[in-house]
Amino acid sequence: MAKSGSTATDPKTPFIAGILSWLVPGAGHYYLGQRARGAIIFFTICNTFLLGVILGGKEMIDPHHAKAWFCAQALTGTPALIGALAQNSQYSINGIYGRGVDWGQVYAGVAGLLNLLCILDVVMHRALPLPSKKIPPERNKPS
Amino acid sequence: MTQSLFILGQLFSQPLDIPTSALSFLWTLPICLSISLIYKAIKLETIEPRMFVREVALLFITIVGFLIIVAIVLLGIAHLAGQL
Repeated sequence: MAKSGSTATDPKTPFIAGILSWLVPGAGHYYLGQRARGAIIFFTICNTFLLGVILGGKEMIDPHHAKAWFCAQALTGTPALIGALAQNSQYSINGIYGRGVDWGQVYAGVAGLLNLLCILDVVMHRALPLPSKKIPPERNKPS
Repeated sequence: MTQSLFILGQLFSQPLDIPTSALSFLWTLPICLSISLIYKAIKLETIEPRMFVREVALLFITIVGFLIIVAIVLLGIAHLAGQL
Protein backbone atom coordinates (compact mmCIF):
# COMPACT_ATOMS: atom_id res chain seq x y z
CA MET A 1 0.00 0.00 0.00
CA ALA A 2 1.37 3.37 -0.99
CA LYS A 3 1.77 5.58 2.04
CA SER A 4 3.79 8.69 2.70
CA GLY A 5 6.78 7.85 4.84
CA SER A 6 7.32 10.26 7.72
CA THR A 7 3.78 11.60 7.87
CA ALA A 8 2.26 8.23 8.67
CA THR A 9 3.42 8.25 12.27
CA ASP A 10 2.49 11.85 13.06
CA PRO A 11 -0.76 11.83 15.09
CA LYS A 12 -1.71 15.35 13.98
CA THR A 13 -1.37 14.58 10.31
CA PRO A 14 -4.81 13.00 9.69
CA PHE A 15 -6.55 16.03 11.20
CA ILE A 16 -4.50 18.55 9.19
CA ALA A 17 -4.87 16.48 6.03
CA GLY A 18 -8.63 16.29 6.56
CA ILE A 19 -8.96 20.04 7.05
CA LEU A 20 -6.80 20.72 3.99
CA SER A 21 -8.82 18.23 1.99
CA TRP A 22 -12.03 20.03 2.93
CA LEU A 23 -10.69 23.52 2.26
CA VAL A 24 -9.17 22.68 -1.13
CA PRO A 25 -10.22 19.37 -2.73
CA GLY A 26 -7.17 17.14 -3.18
CA ALA A 27 -4.94 19.24 -0.93
CA GLY A 28 -4.94 16.58 1.77
CA HIS A 29 -3.55 13.96 -0.59
CA TYR A 30 -1.04 16.50 -1.94
CA TYR A 31 0.02 17.25 1.64
CA LEU A 32 0.68 13.55 2.22
CA GLY A 33 2.90 13.46 -0.86
CA GLN A 34 0.40 11.82 -3.21
CA ARG A 35 0.53 14.56 -5.81
CA ALA A 36 -0.99 12.77 -8.80
CA ARG A 37 -3.95 11.61 -6.72
CA GLY A 38 -4.39 15.11 -5.29
CA ALA A 39 -4.27 16.70 -8.74
CA ILE A 40 -6.88 14.30 -10.14
CA ILE A 41 -9.18 14.95 -7.17
CA PHE A 42 -8.70 18.72 -7.39
CA PHE A 43 -9.45 19.01 -11.10
CA THR A 44 -12.36 16.56 -11.03
CA ILE A 45 -14.17 18.08 -8.04
CA CYS A 46 -13.52 21.68 -9.05
CA ASN A 47 -14.67 21.04 -12.62
CA THR A 48 -17.82 19.25 -11.43
CA PHE A 49 -18.62 22.12 -9.09
CA LEU A 50 -17.83 24.72 -11.78
CA LEU A 51 -20.08 22.94 -14.27
CA GLY A 52 -22.82 22.99 -11.62
CA VAL A 53 -22.42 26.75 -11.22
CA ILE A 54 -22.51 27.23 -15.01
CA LEU A 55 -25.68 25.13 -15.26
CA GLY A 56 -27.53 26.64 -12.32
CA GLY A 57 -25.95 30.06 -11.90
CA LYS A 58 -24.32 31.12 -8.68
CA GLU A 59 -27.71 31.57 -7.01
CA MET A 60 -28.29 27.83 -6.92
CA ILE A 61 -25.90 27.74 -3.95
CA ASP A 62 -28.75 28.67 -1.65
CA PRO A 63 -28.36 28.18 2.11
CA HIS A 64 -31.90 29.51 2.72
CA HIS A 65 -34.16 27.61 0.30
CA ALA A 66 -32.09 24.53 -0.52
CA LYS A 67 -30.56 23.66 2.84
CA ALA A 68 -30.02 19.96 2.16
CA TRP A 69 -28.28 20.68 -1.13
CA PHE A 70 -26.21 23.40 0.51
CA CYS A 71 -25.02 20.93 3.17
CA ALA A 72 -23.73 18.68 0.40
CA GLN A 73 -22.27 21.59 -1.58
CA ALA A 74 -20.52 22.98 1.52
CA LEU A 75 -18.41 19.82 1.64
CA THR A 76 -16.42 21.18 -1.31
CA GLY A 77 -15.05 23.81 1.08
CA THR A 78 -13.70 27.01 -0.42
CA PRO A 79 -15.62 26.89 -3.74
CA ALA A 80 -18.96 26.55 -1.92
CA LEU A 81 -18.09 29.26 0.59
CA ILE A 82 -17.18 31.66 -2.23
CA GLY A 83 -20.45 30.77 -3.96
CA ALA A 84 -22.45 31.36 -0.77
CA LEU A 85 -20.77 34.74 -0.27
CA ALA A 86 -21.48 35.71 -3.90
CA GLN A 87 -25.23 35.31 -3.42
CA ASN A 88 -27.42 37.92 -5.01
CA SER A 89 -29.80 39.31 -2.38
CA GLN A 90 -32.69 39.74 -4.85
CA TYR A 91 -33.15 35.96 -4.91
CA SER A 92 -33.02 35.54 -1.16
CA ILE A 93 -36.79 35.96 -0.71
CA ASN A 94 -38.29 33.57 -3.23
CA GLY A 95 -35.36 31.41 -4.29
CA ILE A 96 -34.52 30.50 -7.88
CA TYR A 97 -35.94 27.56 -9.79
CA GLY A 98 -35.65 25.81 -13.14
CA ARG A 99 -34.25 22.75 -14.85
CA GLY A 100 -30.77 24.30 -15.05
CA VAL A 101 -30.85 25.08 -11.33
CA ASP A 102 -31.86 21.49 -10.56
CA TRP A 103 -28.98 20.08 -12.56
CA GLY A 104 -26.61 22.67 -11.09
CA GLN A 105 -27.58 21.67 -7.56
CA VAL A 106 -27.06 18.01 -8.38
CA TYR A 107 -23.62 18.69 -9.87
CA ALA A 108 -22.44 20.86 -6.98
CA GLY A 109 -23.96 18.46 -4.44
CA VAL A 110 -22.29 15.44 -6.01
CA ALA A 111 -19.00 17.37 -6.07
CA GLY A 112 -19.35 17.94 -2.32
CA LEU A 113 -20.22 14.32 -1.57
CA LEU A 114 -17.27 13.13 -3.66
CA ASN A 115 -15.05 15.45 -1.64
CA LEU A 116 -16.45 13.90 1.55
CA LEU A 117 -15.29 10.55 0.18
CA CYS A 118 -11.83 12.04 -0.39
CA ILE A 119 -11.75 13.55 3.12
CA LEU A 120 -12.65 10.19 4.66
CA ASP A 121 -10.04 8.48 2.49
CA VAL A 122 -7.29 10.87 3.50
CA VAL A 123 -8.20 10.79 7.22
CA MET A 124 -9.05 7.13 7.74
CA HIS A 125 -6.93 5.39 5.12
CA ARG A 126 -3.97 7.37 3.78
CA ALA A 127 -2.77 9.25 6.84
CA LEU A 128 -3.06 6.48 9.41
CA PRO A 129 -0.24 4.00 9.93
CA LEU A 130 -0.64 0.54 8.46
CA PRO A 131 -2.24 -1.93 10.85
CA SER A 132 0.21 -4.64 11.78
CA LYS A 133 -0.75 -8.02 10.44
CA LYS A 134 -1.58 -10.43 13.21
CA ILE A 135 0.06 -13.78 12.67
CA PRO A 136 -2.06 -16.53 14.18
CA PRO A 137 -0.13 -18.71 16.63
CA GLU A 138 0.74 -22.08 15.26
CA ARG A 139 -1.46 -24.76 16.65
CA ASN A 140 0.16 -27.90 17.80
CA LYS A 141 -1.10 -30.74 15.75
CA PRO A 142 -2.31 -33.65 17.83
CA SER A 143 0.20 -36.43 17.62
CA MET B 1 -12.27 42.38 -23.68
CA THR B 2 -15.10 43.94 -21.66
CA GLN B 3 -17.65 42.04 -23.71
CA SER B 4 -15.83 38.77 -23.07
CA LEU B 5 -15.81 39.46 -19.34
CA PHE B 6 -19.52 40.30 -19.49
CA ILE B 7 -20.29 37.01 -21.27
CA LEU B 8 -18.15 35.16 -18.73
CA GLY B 9 -20.01 36.86 -15.89
CA GLN B 10 -23.37 35.97 -17.45
CA LEU B 11 -22.25 32.35 -17.61
CA PHE B 12 -22.08 32.18 -13.81
CA SER B 13 -25.01 34.42 -12.95
CA GLN B 14 -27.80 33.08 -15.19
CA PRO B 15 -28.96 29.45 -15.08
CA LEU B 16 -28.84 27.60 -18.39
CA ASP B 17 -32.14 26.95 -20.12
CA ILE B 18 -32.25 23.17 -20.24
CA PRO B 19 -35.34 21.80 -22.01
CA THR B 20 -37.46 19.09 -20.39
CA SER B 21 -36.69 16.34 -22.86
CA ALA B 22 -35.20 12.88 -22.90
CA LEU B 23 -31.93 14.34 -24.18
CA SER B 24 -31.51 16.30 -20.94
CA PHE B 25 -30.67 12.98 -19.25
CA LEU B 26 -27.35 13.13 -21.09
CA TRP B 27 -26.31 15.58 -18.38
CA THR B 28 -25.81 12.52 -16.16
CA LEU B 29 -22.77 11.49 -18.21
CA PRO B 30 -20.34 14.12 -16.81
CA ILE B 31 -21.42 13.19 -13.27
CA CYS B 32 -20.78 9.51 -14.00
CA LEU B 33 -17.33 10.44 -15.30
CA SER B 34 -16.58 12.47 -12.17
CA ILE B 35 -17.70 9.61 -9.92
CA SER B 36 -15.55 7.15 -11.87
CA LEU B 37 -12.50 9.41 -11.70
CA ILE B 38 -12.76 10.07 -7.96
CA TYR B 39 -13.63 6.51 -7.04
CA LYS B 40 -10.69 5.09 -8.95
CA ALA B 41 -8.33 7.84 -7.74
CA ILE B 42 -9.14 6.75 -4.20
CA LYS B 43 -9.34 3.03 -4.78
CA LEU B 44 -6.18 2.39 -6.79
CA GLU B 45 -3.05 2.10 -4.69
CA THR B 46 -0.74 3.40 -7.43
CA ILE B 47 -1.73 5.85 -10.13
CA GLU B 48 -0.33 4.68 -13.46
CA PRO B 49 -1.79 6.64 -16.38
CA ARG B 50 -2.67 3.71 -18.68
CA MET B 51 -4.14 1.52 -15.96
CA PHE B 52 -5.95 4.47 -14.40
CA VAL B 53 -7.61 5.46 -17.70
CA ARG B 54 -8.60 1.83 -18.35
CA GLU B 55 -10.11 1.40 -14.88
CA VAL B 56 -11.97 4.72 -15.10
CA ALA B 57 -13.35 3.82 -18.54
CA LEU B 58 -14.47 0.41 -17.27
CA LEU B 59 -16.27 1.88 -14.25
CA PHE B 60 -17.84 4.63 -16.40
CA ILE B 61 -19.18 2.07 -18.87
CA THR B 62 -20.48 -0.07 -15.99
CA ILE B 63 -22.34 2.84 -14.38
CA VAL B 64 -23.82 4.03 -17.68
CA GLY B 65 -24.76 0.45 -18.59
CA PHE B 66 -26.66 -0.04 -15.34
CA LEU B 67 -28.36 3.33 -15.76
CA ILE B 68 -29.51 2.27 -19.24
CA ILE B 69 -30.82 -1.05 -17.85
CA VAL B 70 -32.70 0.79 -15.08
CA ALA B 71 -34.12 3.24 -17.64
CA ILE B 72 -35.32 0.38 -19.87
CA VAL B 73 -36.96 -1.40 -16.91
CA LEU B 74 -38.69 1.80 -15.79
CA LEU B 75 -39.81 2.51 -19.36
CA GLY B 76 -41.26 -1.00 -19.55
CA ILE B 77 -43.12 -0.54 -16.26
CA ALA B 78 -44.47 2.83 -17.43
CA HIS B 79 -45.54 1.27 -20.73
CA LEU B 80 -47.34 -1.59 -18.96
CA ALA B 81 -48.95 0.79 -16.49
CA GLY B 82 -50.19 2.89 -19.41
CA GLN B 83 -51.92 -0.10 -20.97
CA LEU B 84 -53.88 -0.93 -17.81
